[in-house]
Amino acid sequence: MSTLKMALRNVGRNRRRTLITTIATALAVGLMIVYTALVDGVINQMERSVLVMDIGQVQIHKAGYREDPTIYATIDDSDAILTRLDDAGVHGTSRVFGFALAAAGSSSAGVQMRGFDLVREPQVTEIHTRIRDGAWLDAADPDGVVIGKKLARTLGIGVGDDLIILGQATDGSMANARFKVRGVLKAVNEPIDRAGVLMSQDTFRQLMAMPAGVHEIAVVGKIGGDLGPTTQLVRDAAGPWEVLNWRELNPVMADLLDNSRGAMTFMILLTYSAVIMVVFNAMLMSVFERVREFGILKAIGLSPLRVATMIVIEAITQASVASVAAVAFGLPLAFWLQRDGLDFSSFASDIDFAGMAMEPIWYASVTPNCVIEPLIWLFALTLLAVAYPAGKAALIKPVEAFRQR
Amino acid sequence: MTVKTEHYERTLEMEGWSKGKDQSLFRILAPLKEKGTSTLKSGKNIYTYLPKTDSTIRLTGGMMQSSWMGSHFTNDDLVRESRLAEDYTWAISFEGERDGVKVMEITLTAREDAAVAWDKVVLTINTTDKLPLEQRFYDEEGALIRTMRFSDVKDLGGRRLPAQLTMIPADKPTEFTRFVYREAQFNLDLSDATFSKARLKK
Repeated sequence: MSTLKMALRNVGRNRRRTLITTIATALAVGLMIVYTALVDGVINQMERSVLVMDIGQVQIHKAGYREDPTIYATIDDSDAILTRLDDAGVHGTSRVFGFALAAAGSSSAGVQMRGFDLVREPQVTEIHTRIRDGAWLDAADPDGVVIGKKLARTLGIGVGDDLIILGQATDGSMANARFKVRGVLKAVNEPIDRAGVLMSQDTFRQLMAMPAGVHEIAVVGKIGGDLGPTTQLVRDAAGPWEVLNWRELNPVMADLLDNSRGAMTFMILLTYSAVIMVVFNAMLMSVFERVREFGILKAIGLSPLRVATMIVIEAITQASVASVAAVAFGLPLAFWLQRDGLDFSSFASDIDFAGMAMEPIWYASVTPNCVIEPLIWLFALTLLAVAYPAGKAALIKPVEAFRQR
Repeated sequence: MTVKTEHYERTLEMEGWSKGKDQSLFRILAPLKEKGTSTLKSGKNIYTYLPKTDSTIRLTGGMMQSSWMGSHFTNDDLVRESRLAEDYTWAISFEGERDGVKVMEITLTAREDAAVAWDKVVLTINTTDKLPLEQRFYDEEGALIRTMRFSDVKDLGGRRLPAQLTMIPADKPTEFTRFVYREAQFNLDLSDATFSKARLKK
């Protein structure tokens, strides 16, 4: 009789034990598939919200601007760069920044004005969708500005209220103008929430006497995947200007996301150690129960290798059945979470985590990896778990085995 | 006032009043674009009146560190202006002739408890007419930050005074802020109401 046949018969003999082991394994692996997809989804969502809310994937500046953001450190050929980016198939948008004092009534606060390209910005980022009250900027309303939510609170103003901006224009004169708050943002990120005054680029240029030049170009290509090619593409289009991707621009955030991935791996390892205990326990029990049986097999001349192989096959058979069951219930669940998501909006509508905005609905992200990774782990750990029982059975001495009862 | 920087050069005509060290009021007369813009210093506060938006704003936070009217002086400089005699101890560090002029150099060192912007101020005066020639300002690391030069001594409001004050930042030697006094009057009878927020608008 072949080893395979013997192993399969052994699996079938103690049905209850086989069933319990298989179900426990399937449950653990199935949940791993769902969990992996969900955590992947949330991390992607976090990464995406970091990127598409404001900073984009890659940014272009004049070298030194980030350390010393003076209004004079401009990129002069932004139109040509943006055209080249369009030709390369990625979207870019230009921005101008300036620091000023904003006053409303008797309160005042330091602010960062952001002049947006109202046509291009919505193609690159989604900040225009993060309006809490009022409306996004409109070229037809040059005096309408959108402000961050904490700034609105600091100044005690809301939609429709007046805001006076006082700063220094590029010609040294006092830049000052009265604006109307058009909209207040939801949480975006700390700098914008606390100090952001968003306006159209034309309004900014007029206020600050800055007819040309931009301070920043933000670019978004395909989200997810390798940043390298997009960074290179932008580098080619940008010429001599400084090009940095978001990981270089915000290493703290990049670390945070990487650490979340690390934490996820740790959680997976914890779950698998539970799985390994189940498999290990089941196999060990099945070996100990059959000590006399193995003794007979050895006595009639079965080699230790064949005994060990038999037990390994038993384990793998159970793991295979468990995988099929796990995929059968885990994958549909993961797909459902990808479509409908886990809705936390009843707890909080505007989640702010480590200074970045988070969606209140968590969507899973199903990739082949979500299935392949748990399965690889399952089989690897099964083999590890079965090594000791298999070895023990293989090395059993018939005489000692018979003495046992 | 003329300001020359790497990025712009601008000249403002202003009128101003001051009483003691804590109260002053400046108003821009020209150019037309900025006419009426006023700054009121009252104690530790600085208020700016902006005719374009018809609003008075008390400067706070980061704005204090930014330039006053585009000059090399920050708003904070205006507030932290201090009486040298009160906040510094002095010693004569040089006496004699420099470039054919008899001068006296006085080194002022900040008193330990004085909250002043400068750790050391070196003042050079013309020994003959007792008028200042140059004032150099050093920070706590002993680095020269700015130099103020006094020139064009003439009759102003019945006193012999340098009519031209030029400030040169040490890190940008090609830039300067220059004040040229056209007219001056002293010992005016100014009430405290002159330096009230209501007067900013005129």
